[in-house]
Order: sequence, then C-alpha cells, then structure tokens
Amino acid sequence: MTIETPAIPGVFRGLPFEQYLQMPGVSKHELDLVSKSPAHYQAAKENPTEVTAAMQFGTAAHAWILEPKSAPDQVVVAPKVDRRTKAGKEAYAQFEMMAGNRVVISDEDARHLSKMSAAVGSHKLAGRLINDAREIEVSCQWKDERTGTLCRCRPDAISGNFIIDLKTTYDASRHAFASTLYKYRYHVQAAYYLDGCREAGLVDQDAQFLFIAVERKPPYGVAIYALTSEDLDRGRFQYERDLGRYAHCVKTGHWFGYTESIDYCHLPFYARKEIDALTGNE
Amino acid sequence: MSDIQPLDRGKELWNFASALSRSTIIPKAFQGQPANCFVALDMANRLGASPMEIMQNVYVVHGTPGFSAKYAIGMANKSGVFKGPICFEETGKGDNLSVTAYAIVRETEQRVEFTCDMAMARAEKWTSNPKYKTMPGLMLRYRAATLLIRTSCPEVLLGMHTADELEDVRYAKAAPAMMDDPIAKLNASIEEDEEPKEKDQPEPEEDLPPATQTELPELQVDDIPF
Repeated sequence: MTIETPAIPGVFRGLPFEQYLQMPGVSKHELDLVSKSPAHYQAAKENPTEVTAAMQFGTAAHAWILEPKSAPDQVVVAPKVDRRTKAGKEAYAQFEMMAGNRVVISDEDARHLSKMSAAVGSHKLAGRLINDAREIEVSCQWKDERTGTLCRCRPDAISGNFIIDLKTTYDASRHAFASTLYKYRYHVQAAYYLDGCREAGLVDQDAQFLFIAVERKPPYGVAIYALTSEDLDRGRFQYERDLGRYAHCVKTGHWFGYTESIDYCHLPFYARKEIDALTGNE
Repeated sequence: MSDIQPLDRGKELWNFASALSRSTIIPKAFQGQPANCFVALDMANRLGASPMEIMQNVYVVHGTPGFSAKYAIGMANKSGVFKGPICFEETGKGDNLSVTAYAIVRETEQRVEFTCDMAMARAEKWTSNPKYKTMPGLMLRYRAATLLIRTSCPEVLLGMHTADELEDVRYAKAAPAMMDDPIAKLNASIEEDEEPKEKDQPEPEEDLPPATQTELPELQVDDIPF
C-alpha cells in the first residue's frame, strides 16, 4: 500500500521513513544545508547522498531501541560468509534477496546494538521514557507563520510532554555532547521540533526536548540531556534565520553559494584565547 | 546567669568581640568576624547565656541567623515559663503523621499545645526539604515545638527564627520554581523510585531482568544456508 505524500500541515502516523523524506516540508537537516549555503541545499536535493555505514547503524539503533518488536522488519544481520569464495558469494546473494529493503548490519554491530538497547532499557529515566512513549517516529508538518514555509519533523518518540531524540555516539559525556550539540546543531533541532510539535498539537506549550545519548561501545553509557531556554532561543534564532534565507531563495530562484568577496576567517575563539595567553596579548 | 558580665558600652563590647574573633576554638562563622561576635555577645547579654553557648547554637541559613530548634526547646524549658519540659504526642503514620507539642504553663496550670502534621507541611511546601522524607517525625517535632514557643513564650526566641524554620522557608520558596520545571520533576521521580518500598511479597528466587529492560528482538537470519 502506498501512502500519499502529504503536502499539508498535520500529524501523520505510520508513515515509512522513505515516505517522510519525500514530504514537501523543510526538515532540520535541510536547514543545516541552507545554513552552510543555499547552493549546498540545492546540490543535495539534486544529488542525494549515498547511505553510509554510520547512517545505517543509526537507523538500526533507532529501530532496535525504539521499536524492538518491529525491528526485524527494518533491520537484518548479515551472515558471516567469506564473500571471496563462490559459496560465500551465493549465500550472500541469497541473503541480499531475502533482506530486501531492510537495513543490513554486521554481526558485531548487532551485538553492540543489543547491549545499547539493554543499557537504555535499564536506565532509570531513559527506559521509562521510551517504554511510556505515546508516539514513536510520528511525522508532522506545520507552516512557519513568518515565511509561510511548510516545515516538517519526525521526533523519535514523544513521552508525556517530552519530545525524545535518540543519539548514538562514541562519547556521551556532557563535555563531548556539548561539542557535538554545536557541531551538528542539535540546539536548532530541539527548538525546531519543539515549535513544530507545539504547532501541530502533538505537545503542550510547556513541552521539553530531551536527548538520550547512548554510547556505541562498552560500557554503553547512557545520558539524558536537556537544553536551557537560552540555548533553545539560540537554536530558534538560527532556524528562523535559515528559514528566512530558504524562503528568499525559493522566491528568487537563486540558490547562492559562499560569498564572492574576500572574507576574514578567524581562528576559533578558544584557539585565539590559548595563543594570546602565551603571547601575553590577552 | 552569663559567664561573662554584660558590657554596657559599645566600644568595650566591640573590643571584646574583636578579641573573641581571634579565637580558633569558636565556630567558623565567628572566627575572624568581630561583627558576628559582637551580635553573639549582645544576644548572650540579653538572654543571660554565655557567648560560647550562643555561638554554638546560632546557625546562619543563607545570610539569616537562627537558633537550632533543640536549643530553642532547651531555652524554653529552662525559662521557667512551663511547668516541666515541652512534651510530644505523635499520631498516624506516613502522610497522616501528626505531632503535637504541649506544655503546662506554670502560672496558670493551663495546657498549651501546637500541632503540626504532614498535611500542613505539604500545604506550606516544607516537604520540599528532603529531611521531611528521611525523618518526618523529628522535623514535625521541631516545627510544633518552635511554634508552641513562638505562640506561648515568644520572648524566649528574641524574635529570632530557628534554623529549621529558615531551611523550610528556603525550600518552600524554591519549591514553586522547582515544581514548575518538568525536568526537575522527572529527576525527582528517580528519587521517589529509589525510596525503599514495603515488601509484601517474597523475593523471587531467580534473578529477573529489570522491569524496564527492553526485550531484544531475534534478528539473526537462521534460514540461510552458510
């Protein structure tokens, strides 16, 4: 059965991920590209990127941890065969036929996923939040009032009035997560999802956004992080700026790249501070 | 009677406070703090207590001094206002716990009392103070006795609060902000979960996985010949 790709604001349950990707609304990931430059967004639209092993692992982790019952429909473990031999090649070809569109992960990754899932399940709050989730991977679209742009998001889970996002990482410590937060603009995601889910009526106005970070290696540490309202405001400022830029490009049809004038490129703040401390120019 | 005679002149009192502040055997809040020692000396004079006794029983809770509740009870018992010491009656358990502090007024033989219960503690938001979870009986005794003293012989406290009162008020003030924060509520729910529960069923003999443990799906491909 094919579910039509909706082009209207609303909440859409049971939509496969592939279908969600086809929705016309702008996603946070697309805003990341617009933020780099509208040309990058346009290029990505025209040349979809290959699915990497890391992306597959992330997809498998989401299925395994959030929807363990239906995970076998989405994920399959690759057999251990020597694909240099004829028998191995045949066996793997047979496996690929059987696997279909499911995400294929290695036996080693499957072992890690089992442990990660157990770690999240036995974490006092993370386990409860996921077990009590009232929505899993629900898709929603809303219209940004300021620009009239149709936006979309797909929260991993909604538990009570908490929007949950699962992040697999090699280091879930607060310091490392803070750096990842900035690098991958998770604060923008949090603000975008919160505002979108509120607009779509999925959560109340006082909803919170939580990241459940789970490590991919032993001891499979699990940590839950929330953002301060100040950081959410920073994320909101950034996504509003990106949406404005996107709307401008749609209107003009000009998807510009980096600036053509010469720009100063500064050393990062921390590097300047460190060097200046040595030179005494603080 | 005070060990150190009252000093009438402020300058002499200040000199005494300065000397006292140089002592290393007085509580830390007074060491090197002649102004604090000055206040303690003044209180000692007015209460007829020794400066050391006052210094050992005054606690500063977020900038406000208060007596310890047990010292306040001791002072009331010693004051002669009551015939015999302040006594307590405890009824109910858990959320229904109630404590009455009572005493007999020496002059009138009248029984005076003050009751504090968990309902009052919750309504006043004192229960945000974690001590109401770990030792509710003691906390209610302190509050009931303090309020009995405050209503029956306020002169004993010189208008000061007890440190426990100040702590409760501090928690109560912090409570609305804390309870409005859903993250704080979620974190508080862990503490609630960790509280020991009464066991009404025998322990299972086998080790069972945690209740929240997610069942792992069987993802191995068994039907492929390798």
